[in-house]
Amino acid sequence: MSWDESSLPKPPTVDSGRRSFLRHAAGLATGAVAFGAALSPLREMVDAKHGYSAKQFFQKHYKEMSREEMNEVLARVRMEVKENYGVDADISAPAPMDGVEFVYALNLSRCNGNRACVYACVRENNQSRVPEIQYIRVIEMPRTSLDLERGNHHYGDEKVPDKDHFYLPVQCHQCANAPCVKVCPVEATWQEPDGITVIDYDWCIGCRYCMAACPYWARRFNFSEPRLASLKELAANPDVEAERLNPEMSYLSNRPRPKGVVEKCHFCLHRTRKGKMPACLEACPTGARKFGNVLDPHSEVSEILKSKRIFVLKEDLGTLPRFFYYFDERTPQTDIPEWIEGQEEPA
Amino acid sequence: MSRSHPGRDGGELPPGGLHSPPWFRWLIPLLFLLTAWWLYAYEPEPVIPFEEPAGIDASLLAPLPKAPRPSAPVTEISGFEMRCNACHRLFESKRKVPEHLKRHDEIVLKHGANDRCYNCHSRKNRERFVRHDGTWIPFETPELLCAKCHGPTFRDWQKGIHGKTLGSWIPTSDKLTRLRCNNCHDPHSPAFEQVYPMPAPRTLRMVAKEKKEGVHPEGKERGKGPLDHWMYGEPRTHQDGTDDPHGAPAEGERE
Repeated sequence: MSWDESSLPKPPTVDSGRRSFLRHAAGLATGAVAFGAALSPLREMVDAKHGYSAKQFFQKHYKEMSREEMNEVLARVRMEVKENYGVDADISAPAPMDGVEFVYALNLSRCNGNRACVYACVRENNQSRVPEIQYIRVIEMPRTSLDLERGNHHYGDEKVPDKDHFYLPVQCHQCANAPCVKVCPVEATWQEPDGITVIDYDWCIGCRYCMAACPYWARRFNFSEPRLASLKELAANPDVEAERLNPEMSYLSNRPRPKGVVEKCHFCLHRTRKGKMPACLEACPTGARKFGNVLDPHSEVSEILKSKRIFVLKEDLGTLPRFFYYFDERTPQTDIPEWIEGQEEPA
Repeated sequence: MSRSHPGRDGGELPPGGLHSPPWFRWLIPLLFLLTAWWLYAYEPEPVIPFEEPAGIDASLLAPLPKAPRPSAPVTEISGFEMRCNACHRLFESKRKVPEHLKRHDEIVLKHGANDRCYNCHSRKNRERFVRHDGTWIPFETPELLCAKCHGPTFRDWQKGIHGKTLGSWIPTSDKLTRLRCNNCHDPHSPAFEQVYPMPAPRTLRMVAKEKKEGVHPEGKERGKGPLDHWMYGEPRTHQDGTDDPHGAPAEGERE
């Protein structure tokens, strides 16, 4: 077997004619257009209405920013809020306090399921009203059961509390062993030293892994541009969003979020890191909600953990929540369901 | 021995090889450009079923109770705020409680077995409370009066477990306010009444469901979503019409 020279491919000759020029030019133009199309999201960077800017695109991770860089970022956010809502926001980035670990406790004997906490939270944290985003989900549970599959959070046509149900408010449990933090591919969510799991809305890529990982359904996604008022309301009164915006905000908590990021309860860190109570607690008309520093042995939550029979949701998952539920030892007389007195328990 | 290349030596193909028409090589780039232009120019707006925000009564969210009872011996009689002793220093009430209170018509006494005025109020001086031993308690510390019967609750209240703390979570803060018993409870009928809850959540998925199938008045529908139909068929119900809790997972538990 021998090589036949004529069977080998001939070296390409340089074709420099008009046709070849056109062909190459067309190829180049196509490639350029494709490249441009791929980068088209960058067009929106100059558009502050969408919450993007070149500065935001190139900013550092929250934990790596120096104080000056942080101030620059806060100034940018303040400008964006002013542009989009016409409000002078009091925006800060409060640091966790030393010797503080926040814990929430909720008395299920007292909660009557009135949902005041849900709406206080929405107003405090500038959550989207249209479409609706709420951090707290109050689940109506049949008495004598903690089977969440039997829960219902659509209740609301009859007065509460119903004598056959108790009410289980669920929000972010700020787990010490948080599955949502582990799955985040870009470290946009992490746990702060005071126990609050936070999200950097500028760093979040919207992959929603954390939502899949969270066993408490505590995270919410901005499927569309969040609005504080409906289109109809905006048409009638363009300033309605400014009226509803809570100007006291912080970078990691309740500043306006863009479309396509995940958000969740953060124990109102812009309030609690300044010593105030969370908004849901202040709105609760029954005093079922308790909040405080678990490292302080005289705080209300420490007393509850010492003297009440507490439990956490889905303890078997090992998430170590910082959100504790408890019942009072004695059920109030008026709340005893009828079947206890001699009748059979309903299925 | 040379290998035969069908296209090269032309043995099995017509002379000149398989040549596409001259416009063909422009076709793919042209289609690509057209698609790129179309995507660029006509980016479709996503159709999201918006819903009007739920109207809420903002007064329900006030941190303090709607009508905190005064921590002073003042009561309202026929629209006027009166000190107790304005009347009671002039005459002494009968020991027996009348069938209905003739003057204090706004008071509904619904305090269980505690249905006698003088269990709490002093007979001699109506602007004080009394203990069982006859010593008195000022109006400003009603929790000491309630502690006469509600010992465990009072103990919890002292530690901050029962009741409501406003202002600050720091126990030593001067902004901290502990609400007292009568800030939340009406002492004459202390149990909380049933209330209508604020509106149920309406997430995107649930709005779509309501529009498609109508709002369910009982609000306890399960397994009626399109995916549930596919997975479980028609939702099963008990004989009495209640939903089978094991038939399908609850609709709203995942978004």
